[in-house]
Formats: sequence, C-alpha cells, structure tokens
Amino acid sequence: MLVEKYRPKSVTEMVGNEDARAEVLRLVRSWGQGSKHILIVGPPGVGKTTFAKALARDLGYELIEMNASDERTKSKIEAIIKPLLSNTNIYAKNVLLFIDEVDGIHGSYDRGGLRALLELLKAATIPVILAANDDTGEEMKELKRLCSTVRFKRIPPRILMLYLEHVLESEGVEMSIGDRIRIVNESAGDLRTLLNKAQALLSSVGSYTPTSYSIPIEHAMNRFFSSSSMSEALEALSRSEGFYSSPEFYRSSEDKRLDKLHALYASIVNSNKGIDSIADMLNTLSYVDVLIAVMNRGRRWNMLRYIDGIIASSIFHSSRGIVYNQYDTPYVLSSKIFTYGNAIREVAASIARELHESTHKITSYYMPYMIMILKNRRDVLEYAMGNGIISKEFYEMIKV
Amino acid sequence: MIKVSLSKGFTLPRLDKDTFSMLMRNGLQYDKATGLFTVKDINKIDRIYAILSEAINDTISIEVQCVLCSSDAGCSECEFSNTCDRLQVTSKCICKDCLRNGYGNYTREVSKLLE
Repeated sequence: MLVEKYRPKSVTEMVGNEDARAEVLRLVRSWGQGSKHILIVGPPGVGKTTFAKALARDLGYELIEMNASDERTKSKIEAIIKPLLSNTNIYAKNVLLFIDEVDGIHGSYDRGGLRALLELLKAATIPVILAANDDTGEEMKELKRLCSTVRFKRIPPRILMLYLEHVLESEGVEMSIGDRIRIVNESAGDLRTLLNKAQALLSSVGSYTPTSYSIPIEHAMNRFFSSSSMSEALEALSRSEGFYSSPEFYRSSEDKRLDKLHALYASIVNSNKGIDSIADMLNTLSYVDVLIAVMNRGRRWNMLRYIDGIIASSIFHSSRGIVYNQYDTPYVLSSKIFTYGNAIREVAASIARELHESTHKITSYYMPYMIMILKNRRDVLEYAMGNGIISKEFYEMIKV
Repeated sequence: MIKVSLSKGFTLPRLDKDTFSMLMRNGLQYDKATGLFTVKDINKIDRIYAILSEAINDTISIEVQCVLCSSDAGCSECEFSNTCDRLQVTSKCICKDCLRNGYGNYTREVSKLLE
C-alpha cells in the first residue's frame, strides 16, 4: 500500500503545513514542566498523527499513543496515563504522550474520560500532544485553555502534485498529466486520499477517468443486484463511487448517501423479499458493520478492501432482483413518524406553556405517562378531542 | 478584482469605520508607512474574507505565499485555481519555479525552516 510505504519517517519528509510543523517543533523543543501542552487541530488526512509520530522519532522521544481504538473511560485514562504523567522518574524524561482524536472523548462510551484527562494534564510532567478534527465543541473549551492550539489545514493542490510526482518517480511509473490533475483535485487537500487514489489507478488497467474508475452509487447498486455472476457483482461494488465509513464521521446527508453499507441496507429493507431472506442479509451487513468499525477504530483502512468481497459472497444469492433505494425508512413508516412527531410536538408545546416547563421535559418525562393514561381513559381522550385540546393526528396515534 | 496577497500585503479601497475596526479585530494589520494591509492571524482569513466580501462590491482573490522563495505563489495562473479552496488550504503553497525543482529541493528547504 502506497499509504504505508510512503508514510514519512521524519517531519522533514512530510509535505504541507510547514509553519504549523515548525510551530509544534518549537513548542515541543522548548517544553518544560508547567508549559502548555499542544493541541493539533485539522481535518482528516492532513498528517496530524503522522507528524506526531515522526516528531517523536526526530526528537528522540518514546511515543506513548492513545487513539480512538482504545477505551478511554475515566478509569482507563487514569490507569494508563497517571503513572506516566505524575512520575518524574528516569523513564518519564523522554516520553511524549500522544492522544489522538481527543474530540471523540465524550458521550456515554467515554464517560468521565475528558474530565479525568483534564485533571491529569494539569499535573503532567511530560509533554502531551493532542489531536482533534474539530475544536468547536463545548467540551473542547476547557482543554484548549490547557493547550497551545496549532492548526493544520488542507494541503494545497500544487504541493499534493509535487508529492504525487515524487511517489510516481520513486515507483518508476508514469501517469498522464490529466490523470494527475484529476487525482489531485479529487483528493481535496487530503494526502491519504491522494495516495489511495493513485494506488487504485496504478492497480487498474488503462487511463484513469471517472467513468472507468468509479460509477455512481445508484448504478453500482443496481448493477450489483442484477448481476448474473458473483464476480460481476463484486466488480460493481468495488467500482462504486461509494465508500465504507463510520456513521460518526458523516458530515452531511451526501456522505450518508455515498456510504455503500447504508445503500445496501436501505435497498434490502425496502425490498419485497421474504422476512427470513431479509434477516439473513441484514445479519451479514451487521457483521460487516462491526468489522468496519473495528478497522476504522484501529486505523486499519487497508483491510477495508476485503469488505466488498465479504458482502458479495454472503448476500449474492439472496439479493437477486432487489432495486436500489436511497431511503432507509419505508415511506409508509416515515410519513407516519413525521405526522405523529408533529402531533406530539404540538401537544407538548401546549402543555409546556400551561405548566411553565420546557417542551423537552414534557416530551421526555410527562408524555409517556400521559399516553398511558389516555389509552386507559377513552372518555378523557374523546373529551380532549371533542374540545380541540388535542389534534386529530394525536387522537389517532393514541388509539393505535 | 481585489488581490489579497498574503506575502506582500495589499491595498483596499476606502472602508467605513465599522468595517475597518471589524477587520482589525479579526487579525488584519495596517501599516501606515507603506499603506498596506497584512494578515496577522492567518487562522482568521475566512472571517477577513467574509467581512471584505460583504463590504466591497468586487471579487476578492487570495494570493498565497510560496513556502520556499516567499514570493506570491501565483494563484491566479495556477492550474488548480478553479478547484483550490484558498480559505481551506494552508497559507503557503509553492510557486511554479520552485515546483520545477522537485520534491528533493522542497524537503531540503523546508528542513531549514524546521531547524
């Protein structure tokens, strides 16, 4: 894999973000106890993790890494980091702690993790580099107070071109200028994507053009479901413009649309296949979903290439005749959810006004009991409906 | 078209007091001696761009600096000028002349910056 082969070993082998790299180097070199730690913020694929690893190697630090694949609860963080941060022993002298995707330490999974980390950082005796994709969240505010923030930005296309030409030259291969420009443009400042696209082209035959390289997801899915052989189905899946990503990285509905697993799921649940057949296919998707999550958490993206094969071999026979569908909730159900949702919001808003409570509190705490009461007291329900207290939709929802 | 050069500084048409102070608060600097504006805080370039776009009825073109020779990188003649989002990429790129010298030259020069 080009991504692995050309992963820089030193900070000087990297490209882009020159000022930011110099700034982090300056901060680490001048770091002393009581100094601020370093928070690197930037979009994926600009080299935050690679830089931290290369920097540790260049400056003779032993790097202790904690990334999103590790469990980062309060107890885990304390167990792993506390001895490192509080010991002023000989071992601690040359240790650099790197905590990746620190903006991901929140929510129920990492409960208490961020709070524990903040406490430990305050008393740290070794430099800590933290990396985040985004620093705008409320939970990042306090962390930023303890850190000097350095921003890594997307790499300009010309510098990507410079790097691509270096890789092609080192590999001893040629690529037309049109293909090079197209790959650079499609990479959008992401070096990892650039190398993956170059890899895809170098492993394929002929010139790189969007039509020969990738096909729109709806065509790919329909081709997959209508293929007469498994190899044809596999080719349709692998040439799709879609990708496998973790839903936590969805930036937009477009990202969701381009997620191959989502496209397969939506098409299957909307199909008219038998319930057992659908259950079998969804089991496969569920298994694959877990695999993808493990690969993403462990940053083992090179393993993602096996996913198409697993899917094609597992659901090929049972999925013949399905048609691509973009929406994961059948229309009949989604329209009901929409109508009932509006009805509930309307009633909750009226009650909230009367009781001087928030609508959220009414919906979360009061509404379930209210529905139970109304279900058992049809006379009250009829009265509320008859006197315009509740809407017709709400009345029908309770009756159901 | 107003060219916002990140290497040499740039001039702006006369601005009203509010816009001027808003730009100053968002990391723009004005040198009275040369009459040129410079961007002090490059991380706020998107805000500066937004304020200028609203205040000036003209196209604004950002010209980034060459990381190796410190001159303008030549964004207006760049083959990627239509696709490069100059508010999202780093404020330093590479000019056509330095690009010709290849990756080896780039790493050599950048390693001097990193020393």
